[in-house]
Amino acid sequence: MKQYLAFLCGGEDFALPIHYVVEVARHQSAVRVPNADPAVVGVINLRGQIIPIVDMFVPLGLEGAASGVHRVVVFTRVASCESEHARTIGLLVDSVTDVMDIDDEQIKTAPAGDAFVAGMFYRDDIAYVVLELEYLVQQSLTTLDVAS
Amino acid sequence: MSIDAALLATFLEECQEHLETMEAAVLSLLQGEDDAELMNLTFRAAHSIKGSAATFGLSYLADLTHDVETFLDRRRKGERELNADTVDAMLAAVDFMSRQLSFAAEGRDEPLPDLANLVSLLARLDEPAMAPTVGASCQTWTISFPATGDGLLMGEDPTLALKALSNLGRLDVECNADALPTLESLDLSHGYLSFEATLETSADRDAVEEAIAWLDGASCVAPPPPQPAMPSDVIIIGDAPAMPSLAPVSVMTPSMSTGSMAPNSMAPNSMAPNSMAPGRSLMPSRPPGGGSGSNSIRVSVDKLDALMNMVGELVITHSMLSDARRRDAAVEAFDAALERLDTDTRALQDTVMRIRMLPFRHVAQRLPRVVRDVVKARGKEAELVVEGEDTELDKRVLEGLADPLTHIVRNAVDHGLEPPDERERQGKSRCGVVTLRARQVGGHVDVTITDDGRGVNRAALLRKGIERGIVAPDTSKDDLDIKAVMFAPGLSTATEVTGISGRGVGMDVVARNVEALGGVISIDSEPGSGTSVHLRLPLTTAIMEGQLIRVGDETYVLPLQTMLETTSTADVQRLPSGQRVCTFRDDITPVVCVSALLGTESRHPTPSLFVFAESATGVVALCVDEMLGQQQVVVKDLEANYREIPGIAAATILGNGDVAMILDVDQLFTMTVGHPSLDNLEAAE
Repeated sequence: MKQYLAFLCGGEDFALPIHYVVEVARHQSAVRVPNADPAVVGVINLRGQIIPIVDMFVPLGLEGAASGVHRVVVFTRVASCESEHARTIGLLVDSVTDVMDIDDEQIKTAPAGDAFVAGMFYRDDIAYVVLELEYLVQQSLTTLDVAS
Repeated sequence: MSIDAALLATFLEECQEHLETMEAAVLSLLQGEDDAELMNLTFRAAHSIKGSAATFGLSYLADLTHDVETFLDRRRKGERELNADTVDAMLAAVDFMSRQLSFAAEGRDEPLPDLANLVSLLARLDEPAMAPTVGASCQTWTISFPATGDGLLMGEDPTLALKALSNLGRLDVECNADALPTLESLDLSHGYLSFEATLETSADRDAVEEAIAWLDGASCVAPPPPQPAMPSDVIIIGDAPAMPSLAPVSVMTPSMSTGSMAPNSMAPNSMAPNSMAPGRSLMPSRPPGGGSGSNSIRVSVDKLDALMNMVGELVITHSMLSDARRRDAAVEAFDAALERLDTDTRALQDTVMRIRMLPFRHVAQRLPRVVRDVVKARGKEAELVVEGEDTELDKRVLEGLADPLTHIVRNAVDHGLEPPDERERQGKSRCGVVTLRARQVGGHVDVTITDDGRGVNRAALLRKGIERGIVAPDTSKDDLDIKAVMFAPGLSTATEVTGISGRGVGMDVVARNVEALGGVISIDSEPGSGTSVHLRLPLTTAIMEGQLIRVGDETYVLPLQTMLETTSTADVQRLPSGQRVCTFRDDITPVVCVSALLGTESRHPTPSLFVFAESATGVVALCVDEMLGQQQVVVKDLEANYREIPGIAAATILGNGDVAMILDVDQLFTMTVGHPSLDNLEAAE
């Protein structure tokens, strides 16, 4: 049995194993980073640390505009392959919906493999996509977008 | 990190410190300083390492250190002589220990592949052979040198062979003087003496043969598988000459081998100090146990007490504030509390900064070794003078300074100083002087490395500069901007690539390293009288003086130390390449349009302000929209949680809590030069 944090992004439901999550906060304005990756909306100051904010719309390939003003940031600790220590990264999502306990057996392997999908589960007729966070972050932070 | 791992990390760091102590002490020994105290110091350091190594079950390090310790102890107590060979061996021992330590750091408790070399070196220098813990078993050889007359005239002096043999192990020599005539009939050029030598050595046959090979007519018989020496296993050296009347007794004991003779049983790699091994020659050996130096720092309890005290004050101030809020107190109460908070915060910042500071000595102490290695390898004579060892710098700055300093000092000795004979011809003292001076000037530390050598070879530099297209072909020798050429990537004027320097990867790396620390590098050179390299370094990398600038709607921070001048009018010219330039102090400088590079929209159709800033490659003109205030900014790493961003050095948090990016002038420059099309000054025309 594992705990998952469920969130909504672009009208779809996603879930993250809760051990990644450090805290959840309302999104304030982020400072744009020049020449940054397209997914990175900017950086913020979280108690003295500079944290990049990744708009989940981009790596998740979601269509349409984000749902406006009430977005939240899920701060996560993610291991990275380049540096030995974990990085803290803010994931910008529409809203956090729930924290739930899910048995490992309930997690189904996603049919066609999107590399960032770790699996899926159903709860109250809602399908939640469990994200492969390391991969997702790797993808959204390492595509070098050199000034063009 | 488990407790064990944490302890091990502490142990590794301590060992590193002990090794540094040993190396510094051994080098001082070389300079003939107080032997007894230095020997004690060296011995104690080795002893500490041995103790902790054994505690951690690092048996090979413990064994190795034990051998070294025994070796040192004999000399400390005066049982064995201290000479140049011994000191060399000590240095080699420190290198071996350092490498064995890095094995331990990697979690490998196994012996170094060439450990036997050191063990046999120590054993050889340590007469009644300290039992080698690793290595081949001893064999006993008997070698006789029959007396033959005239060979001595041909330079066949058996004492030289005996000396060489004495380097291989324990040598006992018997001299037979029966054939010696009376004094009246003595012919000084004739060899009368015969020798019978017994050699106990772990060296192989080749080594023994090599030691005697140059004596004409040498032949060998294999020694018996075990021991002891049998009369039948005698190497007869055909017509080797014997000594004349003056048989030096000094060769009789191997422990007295002198520094003049290179021991020849050592494998070459074991003699070469670590730092000179090819491939590691560019930058010095890093302390083992992890990439960029240690991550912890020793703090005196006093400093911690001061910190605790200040944190206590902050807690009190906090309760003052909340109390004032609860009582709905007057503004004055808040003001008082705020003032207190301000004082406390500053004091706290100051104390924390002090904790990060270490004396310059920390990095300077490894330089005598660098000088010595170069001097030995290149036949120079040099003295290193260090001034201002107590100047304090941020630990990170110091660590970052180690590589550039090593390189500059190595360069100064290798390229700067002339060979002793040449110096003498020029009326200089044979021994060159390299002076290293550190002192604090305001919020900076100035480090100057001066040599009294031949100075930069302007002609060679000019040629290289033209060859590589860095300077215009019609530049005269005297107009040459040394810095521009010197710090260009991949330049070396040394005609010969040595293991020490001249590989052409050098000053540009040095310049980049120094600038990465927020420092500025410059160079002065006077032909014939020397070169001096100046480094201006920030006291700390954690805080710097910044100029806030506005570009479009965004605020950026420009490191104040890079700024030279600001102007609102500049005559911008467009080169055929698309690159824009303007003049600054009679030089052409490239114009960098910050808003274009950073992808912001400048609000002004024409560039309104030019900031001339110094980069590694020269001055650049940055065009920005507005100058805001200047303030101290706390440098925040962008890479810790994100990654490196072109044109951005780091981030910081401004007084209002907003994040702002700190610009990297060097990178902005290269970005512009590489992509002139980025320049959006088009709009200006």
